[in-house]
Amino acid sequence: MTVTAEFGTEIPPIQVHVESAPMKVFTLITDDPNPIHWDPDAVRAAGLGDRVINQGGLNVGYVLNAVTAWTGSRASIIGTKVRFLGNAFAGDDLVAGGAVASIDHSTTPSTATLNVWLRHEDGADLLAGTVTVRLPDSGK
Amino acid sequence: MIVLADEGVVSPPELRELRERLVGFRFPDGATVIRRHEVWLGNEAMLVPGDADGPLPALWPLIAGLRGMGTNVADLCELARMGPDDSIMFGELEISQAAPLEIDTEYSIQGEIRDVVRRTGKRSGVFDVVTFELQVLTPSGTSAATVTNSFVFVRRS
Repeated sequence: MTVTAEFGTEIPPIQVHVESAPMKVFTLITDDPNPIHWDPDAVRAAGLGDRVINQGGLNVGYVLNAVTAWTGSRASIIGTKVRFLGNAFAGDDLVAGGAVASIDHSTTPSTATLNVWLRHEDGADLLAGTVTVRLPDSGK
Repeated sequence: MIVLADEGVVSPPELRELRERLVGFRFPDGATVIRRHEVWLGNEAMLVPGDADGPLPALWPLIAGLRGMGTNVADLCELARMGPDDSIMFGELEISQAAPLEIDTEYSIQGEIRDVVRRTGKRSGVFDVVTFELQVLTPSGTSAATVTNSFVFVRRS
């Protein structure tokens, strides 16, 4: 697979609808006891509303999905660095995307670093950072 | 002791004591194995498209690190003296890996707290950022991934 990567290239954004069931699965896989991910009463007790809150890891996962849909390979990602800026709740609609910030042709294969983001559909930022990928078929 | 205008008196743990006790604290060594059914379920939860038998998504070093780190989030909260009204949030995450992790491989996890800093925000009040690094090691002892997490403890107790 060949991808077009130059400074400013935007990756196709992906839409995500947040649901509570995947949070429960992720709770078990990560062995995370925080009840705000599966118990609405705990969310209310914490004063955070009445809908369960998506794990930060799942939010990162959506961004990585957008990146690997662009590169064509889950194995392309070699670096991820993100800051969490807000919560996503069950029922929210999100958009994940990014754009190429730099390309390094000194390595084989070439690598690209993307500025990435996850936002509510209303534009509120949930996550921002960078993902570094190996570029496929970079001709080197 | 810090007085917040709208929320009464807050007494977070003493920062110097926290730093002296936590910075450089090594977690007990741990280990984890990623099973095929977990990858399948994880892919569904993470909305990963495509073949469940393909390379593991790049989030797995975080998952493997957190559950295999020889301690758990509840113990971390206790180490950070999290009070009953405090809350914990993910602050930052950094993962570096040379290649995807693999199923049915026992990864050793070594973890250490790297830093503790205290900040004050207009909305959140006093909060402590605890940064810890997890090394995900292959059975031969080479590094498969490095995961650096920052957990934010918002002090309201």
